Amino acid sequence: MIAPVSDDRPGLSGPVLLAHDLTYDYGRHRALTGLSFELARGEVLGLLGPNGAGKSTCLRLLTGYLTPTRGYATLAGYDVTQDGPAARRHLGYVPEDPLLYPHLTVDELLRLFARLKACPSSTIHDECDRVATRLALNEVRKRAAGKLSRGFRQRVAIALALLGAPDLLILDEPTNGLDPWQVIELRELVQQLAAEHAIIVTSHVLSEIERVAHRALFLREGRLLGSYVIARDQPGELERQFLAMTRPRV
Amino acid sequence: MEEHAINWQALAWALGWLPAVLALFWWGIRLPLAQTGGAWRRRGRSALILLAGAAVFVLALSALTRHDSHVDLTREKLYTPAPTALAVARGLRVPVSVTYFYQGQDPNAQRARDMLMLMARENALLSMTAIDPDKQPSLAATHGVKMYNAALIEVADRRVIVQGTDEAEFAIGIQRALRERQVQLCVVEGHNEYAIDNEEFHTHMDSGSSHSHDDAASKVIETTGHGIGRLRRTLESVGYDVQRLPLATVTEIPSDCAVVIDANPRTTWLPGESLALKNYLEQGGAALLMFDLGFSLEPGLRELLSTLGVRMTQSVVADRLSHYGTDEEMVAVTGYDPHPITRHVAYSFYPGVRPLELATPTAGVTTTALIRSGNTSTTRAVAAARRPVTTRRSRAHLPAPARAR
Amino acid sequence: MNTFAALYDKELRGLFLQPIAWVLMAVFLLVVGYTFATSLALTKTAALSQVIFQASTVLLLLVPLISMRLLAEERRHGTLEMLLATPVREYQIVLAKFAASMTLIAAMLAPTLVYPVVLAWFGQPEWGPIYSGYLGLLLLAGFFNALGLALSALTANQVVAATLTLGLSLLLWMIDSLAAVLPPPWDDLLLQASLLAHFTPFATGAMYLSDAGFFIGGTLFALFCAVRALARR
Repeated sequence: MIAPVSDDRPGLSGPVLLAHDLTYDYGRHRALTGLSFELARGEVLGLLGPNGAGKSTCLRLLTGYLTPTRGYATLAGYDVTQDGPAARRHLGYVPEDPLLYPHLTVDELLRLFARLKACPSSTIHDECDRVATRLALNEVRKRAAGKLSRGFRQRVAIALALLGAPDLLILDEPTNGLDPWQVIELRELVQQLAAEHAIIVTSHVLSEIERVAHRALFLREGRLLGSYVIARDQPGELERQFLAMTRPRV
Repeated sequence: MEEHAINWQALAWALGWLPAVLALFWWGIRLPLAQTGGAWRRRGRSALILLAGAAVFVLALSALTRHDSHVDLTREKLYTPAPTALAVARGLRVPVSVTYFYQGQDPNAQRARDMLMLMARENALLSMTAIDPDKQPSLAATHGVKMYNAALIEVADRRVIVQGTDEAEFAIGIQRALRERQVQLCVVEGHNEYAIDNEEFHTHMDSGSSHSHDDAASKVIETTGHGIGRLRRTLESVGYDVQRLPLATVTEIPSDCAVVIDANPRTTWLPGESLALKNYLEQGGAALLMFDLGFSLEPGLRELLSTLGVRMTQSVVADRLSHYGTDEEMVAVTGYDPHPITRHVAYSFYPGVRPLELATPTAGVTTTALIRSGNTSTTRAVAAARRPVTTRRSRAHLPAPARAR
Repeated sequence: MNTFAALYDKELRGLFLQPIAWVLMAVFLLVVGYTFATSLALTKTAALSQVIFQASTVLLLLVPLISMRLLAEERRHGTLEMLLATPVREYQIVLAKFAASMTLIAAMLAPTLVYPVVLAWFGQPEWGPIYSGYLGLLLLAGFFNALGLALSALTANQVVAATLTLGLSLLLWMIDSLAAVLPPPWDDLLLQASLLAHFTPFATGAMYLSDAGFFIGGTLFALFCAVRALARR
């Protein structure tokens, strides 16, 4: 059942992310049409839809990688297009299947991204230690990124995203290629992070979204079909809503 | 040294150009990349921005080229015009136009073109155009230029053509064009003198050690000389106008002849010619007379030379110690007095040279010996008849080239 | 500045921690060293102009191999998207990559400084053309590098980037060969666009400031194009 977002959920303090009428054209093909939503700190939003629904396009618009044909998005009050660098200071992004610089060690990657995210020089060392500890990366800090397993690479990518304590985390298909233990670990991590950040997560595994997200947006063919407030006490309901909303019309 | 003086204006331009370009670059790369609107609108805007960037690049380069400066780091300043040429260019006070018709494939001509361009940068009054006659033959014909590597120099209504690849010669050509009156040299002809319009560069002289004809003759065999065209061209290149003077056909030597030159006459002068020379000298003229063995002096001419303190006999100088090779008559002069005429002359040979005897000149005339053979030199009388001349097949004389005005 | 330094450091590691940089350096030094030895043996002249010209030709061939991966590889691996999700701006990425690859090129040229030392030891070389020759090589390499960077930004395929860079560089290098047969003003226009015509004065030791301006302006314009090309997503 589609339900409006409740304003009195715990942890909310105004929208961290505001998207208004986001529209994007790839040439003549309209990949996204008029997407509008808000996201507050402490909220986990699941972005769902079949392949080609516009999820990746939406994420790229929110990171500023793409410029919307129409509409805008603001992150921590900064327009992601007009004030890109300022907005991205509040962003942590984990792409789908992150390919890190293979010749750099984990430590070097952490230090690099800490500097790129404009962390104060005096705090870089502590910040790197913090995220490395949180993501249990201390044992592999001296290892080259090209020699890491898929699971460790994913953790490193999340660690890089956490540098600078961003307000918004975007996780694109974070459980892809992970084994069950890693999936569970990641789920627990996201639940922990949700207390401090606004999180957008996409996944093809609906059960994972149901476990971590507070709300889900359904997309199909670039359009927002609806929003669903996830009820923890109704497992499987998300799947039913998803199928009902996104089934192709005959 | 002045020729290496720094062009402060150009340097200031360059020092200002670089920060300006860097500032434009810095501003350009920080232009927003993100653009709203449809795909075609974005492409159009991007294309316009790129075109604007290209335009800025072209304009910036044009601005620098207009205020360019040449830097020559070679030790010998090979790529800088000669100091004399630069001085001439800088000293111009009236407009001068130089059109250089150069052979595009000739590296020397390319260098000459570049040197002329550098000279033109020194003074806005000097305009320079380079034309390759192979690409624009009609232009060359229009200007009446028929040779490669010819610089047409125009000042007001005066034109001078200088052929060559030496910027110093071009500078002299400019000076010639600037002169409103040219110094004229008159070369006597009509006595089988050396031609002044040949193009060859040398005259053969063979030693007599390998063969001789009779005791009365000099052992030096002189082959038919090609001419003194090189002398004429050299004189013209330093600004003189060289004219022929058929002395037998005039009653008096023209007063605008600054110097009368007679180079190796073979036949005797007429009395009237000697009289004309005498009158000319008495009126303040100057003469360079080069009389060789075999030339018989007409009595009037002998008398004239006598009044000037010079006597000539039919004899040849020989120096047993100071000579070239094994032939004593290839006399070598090893030193010269510091006279203005011979100050820069170095060790020289005078094969089969005829001696001059100094006599007491007329009152008011001073005689100074300029070239002396060594203390061990002697003279040997030869027969009055002309020395045998070995004739070599010589090239047909070229017609006299058109004299540049 | 901290961001630029971080990117420059990353790029430098990326270049020198891969074998291609060392292979390129070895090839460059081998060819140029051979030229130095043979020219010295044949001419017995304390001059480097032959070596400078040869080095310029080798740079024309090798610099595209350095620049081809700079941005194409980032696009292909998706790391460009990760970079641009940080506060980094496109021009910082381009400038850092340019600076790092120029550092590699300078490292390639540095060992050749032993040649003038050898000449000075045994003869009396003219230092002016040597200074200007090395300056010309740096300016020329910078131009090739910036051009390669711009073309690398347009594609995710390194081979395509290298081929385009080599082709365009070759065209600009020999474009003046047509000038001899064209009438004015086309001959002059081609000469103005020719890399060889602007580089030769550096090798001979006598140049116009506009020759340096050509390379500097061209390099900056190519870098500007590289930044604009990164906007293609």
